[in-house]
Amino acid sequence: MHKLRIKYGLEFSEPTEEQARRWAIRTRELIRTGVAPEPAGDKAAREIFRTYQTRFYKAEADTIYDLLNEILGQ
Amino acid sequence: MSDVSNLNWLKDVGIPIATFVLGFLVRMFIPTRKERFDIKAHQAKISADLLTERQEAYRRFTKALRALSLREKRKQDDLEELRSAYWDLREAADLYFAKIDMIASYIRRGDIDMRSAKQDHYDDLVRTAKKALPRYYEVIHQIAAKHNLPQSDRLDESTCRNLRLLMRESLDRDGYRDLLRTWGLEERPLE
Repeated sequence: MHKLRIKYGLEFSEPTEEQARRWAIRTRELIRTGVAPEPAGDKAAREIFRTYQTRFYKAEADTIYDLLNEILGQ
Repeated sequence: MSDVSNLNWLKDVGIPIATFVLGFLVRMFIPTRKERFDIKAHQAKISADLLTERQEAYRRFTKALRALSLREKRKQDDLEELRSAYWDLREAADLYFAKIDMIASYIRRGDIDMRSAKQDHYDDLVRTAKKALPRYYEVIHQIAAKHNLPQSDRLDESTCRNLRLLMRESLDRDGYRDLLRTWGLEERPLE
C-alpha cells in the first residue's frame, strides 16, 4: 500500500484496500492483453487512483517550458 | 397448385437461404462481443506503447535541455561544446514533437480509443500545443541568434500538423483561436 502511494505519487488518503485490490486485478488484465508490466501498472493506477501523481506530478509540457526558460536565464 | 408448390419451395429453400445470407451479413458488419473486446484491448496496447515511447523521447528531450542550460550558465566560450549541445537539443526536440504529432494522428484516425487517449495522452498534447511547442521555437531562435548558429525552422502550419488539427477538432472556437495566436499563425482558413 505504502509502496503504491510512493510509486504513483498518491495523496495520503489513497490507496484504500479496495483500490489496491482493483489495481492488481486491472494490472493483470492489461498484462494479459499484451501490455508490458510497468506500463500496465501505470495505466491501471491512472484509471483507479483519484490522486494519481498529484503529489509530485508535473505535466511533461510544464517541465519542458520551465527548462526552456531556464536556458534563457529566466 | 403450382402456386402452392412455389410457396412450399420458397418456405423450404428460400427461408434458410435468406437466414443464412442475413446471418452472414450481420456477422460481417457487426462485431461480436469478443471481437469488440479484442479491438479495445488492441487499442489500449497501442496507446500504452505510445506512452512508453513518448516518455522515452521526453527523457531524452529534458536531458538535452538541461545540458544546454548548463552550457549557457558557464562563462567560458567553447563554441564546439555549445554547438554540440545545441544540435543535440534540436534533434531531441524534433523526436519528441514528432512523437507527439504521431500520437495526435493515431487519435484523429481512431486507432486509439477515446478513453485511452484521454487517460494517456490528451492533456499532455494540449499543454504541449499551448505552451511547450511555441516556447521551444522562441527559445531556439534566441539561442541561435545569440551564438550565430543556424536556425531555419519556424513554427508554421506544417509544424505538428496533426497536433494542430486535433486541437482544431477538440478545442472550442476561442481556444483554437488563442492557440493559433500563440503559434504566430494569423487566423485564416488553414488546411
